[in-house]
Order: sequence, then structure tokens, then C-alpha cells
Amino acid sequence: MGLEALKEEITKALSTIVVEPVWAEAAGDLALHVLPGSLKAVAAALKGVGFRLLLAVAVVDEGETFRVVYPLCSLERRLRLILMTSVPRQAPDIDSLVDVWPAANWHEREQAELFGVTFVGHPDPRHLLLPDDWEGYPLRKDYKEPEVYRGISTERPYWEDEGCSRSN
Amino acid sequence: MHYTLRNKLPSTALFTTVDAVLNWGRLSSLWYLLFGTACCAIELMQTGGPRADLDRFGAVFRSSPRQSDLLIVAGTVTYKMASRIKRLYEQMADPKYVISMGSCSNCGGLFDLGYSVLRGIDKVIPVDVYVPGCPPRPEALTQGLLVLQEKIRKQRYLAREA
Ligand code: SF4
Repeated sequence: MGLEALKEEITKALSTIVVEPVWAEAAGDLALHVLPGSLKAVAAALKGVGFRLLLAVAVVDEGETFRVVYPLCSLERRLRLILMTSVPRQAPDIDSLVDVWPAANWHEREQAELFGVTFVGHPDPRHLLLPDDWEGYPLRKDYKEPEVYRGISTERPYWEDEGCSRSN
Repeated sequence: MHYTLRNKLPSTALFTTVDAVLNWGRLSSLWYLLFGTACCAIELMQTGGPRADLDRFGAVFRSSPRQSDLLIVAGTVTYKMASRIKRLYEQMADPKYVISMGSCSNCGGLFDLGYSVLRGIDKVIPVDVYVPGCPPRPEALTQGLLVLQEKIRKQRYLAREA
């Protein structure tokens, strides 16, 4: 199936949600950029078109915004598609897609603890990897490491000369 | 008990001999905890395997900290893991010894710049022997065990220090 035909089919499936889908290309794959408000509806429509497999959830810190990326896959049709949206840094709230793809559950928990993006409606918004008492979002570009963690100093004596004594 | 004895009684040949026997028993049965946190644990398994054969020196692994004398910290330690390792260490019965195996548990190793990695297990528990390497070869870990045995051989429990 050609890309144009796929675009057309998706455009038709999305016709009630978005007027004109914004197409892009990411790493050689077709990418669809949507507004955060329509994300969940678009996701459900894409699942209807055949994208039943969610491969990952990724977040990119772009300064003023966070880009949230959902690589999708259709095994039956041998197609890949990347769904993207951007949320403002000041209010990084986005709908959870666990209802659409259950695989999003742990991915969203991980991105929430590492980037501080809130997935609204997530059934189990605990930390996944970090300890429960962890403070801050370590993969944000402006993350400042605390001096101590549970009474353990976080200094790096061997890196002081290199100018990267603390991650910043 | 032996601390009070040590203070009250003069150092005698008997106590020195008993010390030597105690130390011999301890250093010849260093049972280590079956525990590893990252890739160094693979090399730890090799050291326990037939070629390096740590059993020759009386060191076999136990799966419970209650039965272990030696904690070999084999691998990267995150802050989250650090509190677990501390608890394992506290669960071990005295006398207990710690070998820090590999760059990661010595000082953070190549993950030194990570936000989640503890820079040296000695920030959490006391360490007897540091084994450098990434990972240390089985020979190096065996050497570390022999060094620890030498250290134990010199310990004094009953006899007073001269
Ligand atoms: S010292 Fe090297 S081999 Fe050992 S745990 Fe660290 S990275 Fe792995």
C-alpha cells in the first residue's frame, strides 16, 4: 500500500476530528502531528484503521514545549506511523492513551516521572523506575541535581575539573 | 563477650592461638551472598565457575544474607538499590566483610555522570577490599578474595594488641 493511499485513508478516518491532518516525516516514517486536545480521538481512529500496536511513548524536551511521540505499528498491514503532539512546558497535561492502547500504561508512567508530563486519566500514576521519594524530573534539560539524596552526597569528585560536577 | 575478656585478661599465648584458629576458620569459609547488580555479576559467576573455581578457597555462594560472611558488590549501584544493599548488609551476621567489585561500585564507574547512580558503595557501607576493573577478570576477583583472607588472618579478637 502506497503512502498516498494510506494518507488518504487516515484523512478520511479522521475527517470528523481534524479538518486537515498535518503530515511530517520522522526518521523515514510518516508522522502525524495533532493538537493535544484531539489526541485521544485521533488515537482511537488510528487504531480503527489498523494501528493496533503502540511501540513506545517518548517525550522530547524542546524548551517551551514538550513533544510527546507515539510510534505506532500495524503488523497486519506492515505499516508504521508516528503520532506526535506538543504540550506547553507551563502546563504539560495530556490525555492518557491507556484506554486505547493498554501498552501505554508503563510507558506513560516512565515519561511522567522522567519529564513531569501529566497523563490525565492514567489508571495508576505511580513512579515506575525512580524511587517514590525522588524529587525533580531528571531528563528535563533544566534539571538540577540535589546536593544530597537520602543523606548520600551526590558530588562527583573526579569530574570537578571537567566542569560537569553536577548534571545541568 | 570477648571484648570484656580482652580488657580484663593479659595477652597470653592461648588467646593468640585461639585467635589464629578463629581467623583460620573465618578466612577458610568465606561464604558470599549470591547477589549482583549489573554486568560485573556475570564475571562473579565466572569466578564461581569451574575454571577460576572460588570454591578452592572455601568461598561458596549462599542465597541468604543470614548465612553469608561476605558481600561482593558486583555491579552498578543506583540510589534506589543502595538502600536495599544496605539492608542486605545489615541482615548479615557479624563478622562480615565487603568486597567492592568493579569501577561502578568503587566510584560510579562509567555511569558516574548519571543522575541515578551512586558514586561508590563505600558511601553506604564499609568496604574491605576494592577490586578495580570493568569488569575485573576472575583472576582479579580471586586476588581480591586472597587479599581479604590475608586481612582476616591478621585480625585480633581475644589477644590484646601489643
Ligand atoms: S564496572 Fe564495568 S562491568 Fe562492572 S558493573 Fe560497571 S560497567 Fe559493568
